[in-house]
Amino acid sequence: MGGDESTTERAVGAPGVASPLSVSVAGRELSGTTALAALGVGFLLFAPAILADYLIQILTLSLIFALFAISVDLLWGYTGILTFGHAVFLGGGAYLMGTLLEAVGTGPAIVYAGLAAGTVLPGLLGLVVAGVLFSRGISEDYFTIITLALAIIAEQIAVSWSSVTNGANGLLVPPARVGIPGVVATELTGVPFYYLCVGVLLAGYLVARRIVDSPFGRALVAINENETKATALGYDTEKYKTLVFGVSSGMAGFAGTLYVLSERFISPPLLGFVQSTDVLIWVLVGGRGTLVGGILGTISLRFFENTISGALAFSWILVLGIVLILIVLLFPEGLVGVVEVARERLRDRRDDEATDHSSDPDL
Amino acid sequence: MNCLLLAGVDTELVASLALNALSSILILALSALGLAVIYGFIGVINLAHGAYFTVGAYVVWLTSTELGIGFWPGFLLAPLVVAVVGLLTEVLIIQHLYERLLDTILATWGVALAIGEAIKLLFNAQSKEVGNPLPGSVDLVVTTYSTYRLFLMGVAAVVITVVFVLFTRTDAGVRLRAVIQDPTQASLLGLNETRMYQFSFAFGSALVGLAGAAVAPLTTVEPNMGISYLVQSFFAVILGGAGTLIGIVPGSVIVAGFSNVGTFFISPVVAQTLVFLLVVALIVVRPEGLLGGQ
Amino acid sequence: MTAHSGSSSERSDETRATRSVNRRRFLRAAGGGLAATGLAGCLGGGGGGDSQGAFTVGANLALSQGWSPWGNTILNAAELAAQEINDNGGLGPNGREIEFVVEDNQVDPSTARTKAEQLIQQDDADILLGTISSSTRVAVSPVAAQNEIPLLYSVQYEGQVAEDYCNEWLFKTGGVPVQTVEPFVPWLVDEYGGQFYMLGSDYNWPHRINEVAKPILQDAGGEVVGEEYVQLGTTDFSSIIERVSQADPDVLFMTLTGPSPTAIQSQMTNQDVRGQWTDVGLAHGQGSLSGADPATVEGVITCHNYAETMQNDLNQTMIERYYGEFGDDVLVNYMTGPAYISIKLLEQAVEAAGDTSPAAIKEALPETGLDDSAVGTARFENDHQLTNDAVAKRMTAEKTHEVVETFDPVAPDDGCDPI
Repeated sequence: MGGDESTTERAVGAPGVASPLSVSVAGRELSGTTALAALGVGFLLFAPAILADYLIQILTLSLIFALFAISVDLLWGYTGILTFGHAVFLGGGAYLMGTLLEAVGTGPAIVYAGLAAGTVLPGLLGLVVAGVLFSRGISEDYFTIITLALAIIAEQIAVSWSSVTNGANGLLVPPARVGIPGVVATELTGVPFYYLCVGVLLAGYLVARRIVDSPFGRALVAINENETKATALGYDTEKYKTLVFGVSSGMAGFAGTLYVLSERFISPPLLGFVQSTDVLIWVLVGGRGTLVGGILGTISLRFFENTISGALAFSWILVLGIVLILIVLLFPEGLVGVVEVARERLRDRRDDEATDHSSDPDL
Repeated sequence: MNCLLLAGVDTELVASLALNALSSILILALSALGLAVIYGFIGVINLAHGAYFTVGAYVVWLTSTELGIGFWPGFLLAPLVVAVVGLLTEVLIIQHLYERLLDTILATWGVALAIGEAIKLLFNAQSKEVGNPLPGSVDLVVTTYSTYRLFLMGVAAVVITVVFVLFTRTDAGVRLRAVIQDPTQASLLGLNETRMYQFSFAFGSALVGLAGAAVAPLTTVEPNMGISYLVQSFFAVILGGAGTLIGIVPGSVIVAGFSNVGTFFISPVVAQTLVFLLVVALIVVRPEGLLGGQ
Repeated sequence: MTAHSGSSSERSDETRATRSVNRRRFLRAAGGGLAATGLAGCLGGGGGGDSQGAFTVGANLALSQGWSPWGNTILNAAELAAQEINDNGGLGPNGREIEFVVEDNQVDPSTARTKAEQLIQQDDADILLGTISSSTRVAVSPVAAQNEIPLLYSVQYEGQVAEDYCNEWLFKTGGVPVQTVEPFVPWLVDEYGGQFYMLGSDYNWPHRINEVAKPILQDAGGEVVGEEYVQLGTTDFSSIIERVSQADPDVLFMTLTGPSPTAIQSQMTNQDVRGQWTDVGLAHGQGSLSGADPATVEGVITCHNYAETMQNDLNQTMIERYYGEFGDDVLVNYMTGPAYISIKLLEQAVEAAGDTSPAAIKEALPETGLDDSAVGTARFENDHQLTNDAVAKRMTAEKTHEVVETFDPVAPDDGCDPI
């Protein structure tokens, strides 16, 4: 009873051989990844029952940042565009929403306006910036350096333009109310807001997944692998790159508006270089080009940063720097990659064992 | 906003401003030259460049303040120390990433973070002052100017010239450039390609370490002092034309000169923003840089 | 006490106390994190622990970005006072031992808020100490109020125009303009002349101070010949010094903070302009100037409600104990006295209330005061703001502060309703 080799998951039917990585539900096998994903979602859904308020707060913000990470993964993991300035769009969306709430009002209509403005305007800016640069055939290196400088400048502008942004002090924003304009409005905080963010993240993930699995997404991957070849195959690579940059910027801006709704406070570092490199590290450690990796990396690294960092005799940033170097050198595929490799090895070993068993005359 | 009426000009002020700008330009040129060797030749974007600059400054601080052996030993030691740091970075990290150059950007950023934090741990994050090793000023008729700054400009100019000559006129230099630009040449010429890369990396790092050491007495030594030099150095290299060495001259003149003058007349932030926009505009119009495109 | 010129300590920014406390916190967090699946409610929870265990002071201070001399001196001063209380049997009727949990807010308002929440919810802080910069304080005050935890702020700040001035959970023991700027500016005009060039770091405190100072200056017969703000953390002043030189003021009135004071003093010396005007720095002091060469700072004038050279026995004793306990890695500066006093007043409040709960402390603190303390008069009279002496000081060639003028204690007007 060696089982059917073509669907290795099913080979688990061989007696005495149980794969630790697959789960049997209602007689159907779930792959390891799906099982893990289900576990992850389950954890998120039940978290408020097991974690304290303060940790839920951290988790809520992590979910928002995870959305930001997905936007970067689309750009970098799938299309191969490395940007050191994506926080400019995150912070841009945040300041737009924050300014509206602070200056105009906190009712649902304003909130929706803010969500729209905070998504569309950064998206448009992204389209313009990318359009201009890509149409001129700017090399990858130059693009990266320009985005780096953009982030630094954006933060400086946010600090100096204090009439609008309140400068380095940051902007305290009154709590927003959501609901139906003119009918019902309620402040959204704490656990309800947490669930909203879980929903938004899942939705964002599904949207990104659709994009990635579509022909558009496949074009992006082709561009990443070999842009010249993609051009030769007839893809208008500049257009694709510009479009994905616009989508990604819009998504980042949207995450920024959620940030303000959650934290009720924005300050210039949100636009800056450090925030932009942090998200790269999250995506890298989680596993770029997987979408899930971005979520995983963001939540786990932020969790570590908030709980362990105070206790270390040396700094968290030092740890981050070393982790970054090691991951780039040794595990460029990130955590997801490591899990994949482990699964491969286990699967190979299981196949070997299964093959051996099939020659056992007792079976 | 400081408005100067150019009629009835204050020659002393103009002279000081010009000299200030010139010293900024030369320091940036030194740092950019180091980057031009590393990025321009080898193609590695080394985000630890700013950290190397900082290390150079801290070496000088260490020798002049902590160890009490004076400024000058530190000044000579700084390029050597940073060369070693650069070499280690190349051997341990970058060498393994030549297949995926975009990833070196991240890895070197990790190095920058690690170096910055290591400095904070060893010496605490409090900003430090390095005393002026050549106090006093020189009478230049139109104005008096700090002796040290003049010395600095002289040293920078000499070093830059020497490096140019080395790379463009000597056999070794020309061979080095040829090999780096076309690695297949290496075996034909009987040269060790790896060694060439290592040497170039160490050399480029030494230059930026020297820049950091030179600037230390003029500014505050603190763990993040290198970031602005990182960005400005890249701008200078790109503007002038990556792949050339001479390009850093007009590159530095534009970036540092504009920045310096702009800061005086307008404000630091506006000046920086304008420089940024200018650089982007120039790159978009002429991606190979002012003197590039050979 | 010896003055320091640039020789630094081998110590990192953390003091001994914080390291051991942080390790304890890690164990708690690690244990809590690992057991997250089963122990709801064991992790964090509201602020204010039980009335028997240690009394936790959550210190939310700037310990980096060049602000560490200030953060560390505040922490040391508070720990010193706490030790005295602990040695005397602890705080309150149950003799609770005071302990500190320390977080570095990196002078960033956003980080400061997160740290405040962490201190309250994760570390069960009974009371918060900090912050330092006004922008971080404004970000933290709402968090203190929401969680009903008192916040002890012991740094000079902008006074009644502060956005959080009327926050009833905020207790301010630092100097305010009506104490340190109002008498100081006219005195400066008399002593040194009325042409002021105002140079500040770009955030709320310097702007507010200058707003307060300008009318006072004009009333005293002076005028503003220049006003400029630089990004917080700026260390390159070469062009700015040129501009100031062009404006030819009598007084360079500086509200620069962080690493900027040391940088500008050094560069002014290098550019050979010292002596053309009088350097006045509201945040210049042994804290920010700890790395500075004495020659670059001699003659700087400052004004605060505390100076380590204030002649009173309690002060001298405190300073001796301070250096005995902490060595001279972190010097006493104008922030030390107010921080020390905050904890002393906390003790008084707890005694009066007979209770260490945050709510009781909040009710009792406004009634506390010491007429004879290490900082001289120290009494809460109006709006949770301490009424305090003020002294103008001149920095000597040994980098100590020589008191050159004393101003009477001033109680700010009662401006807040209801507090």
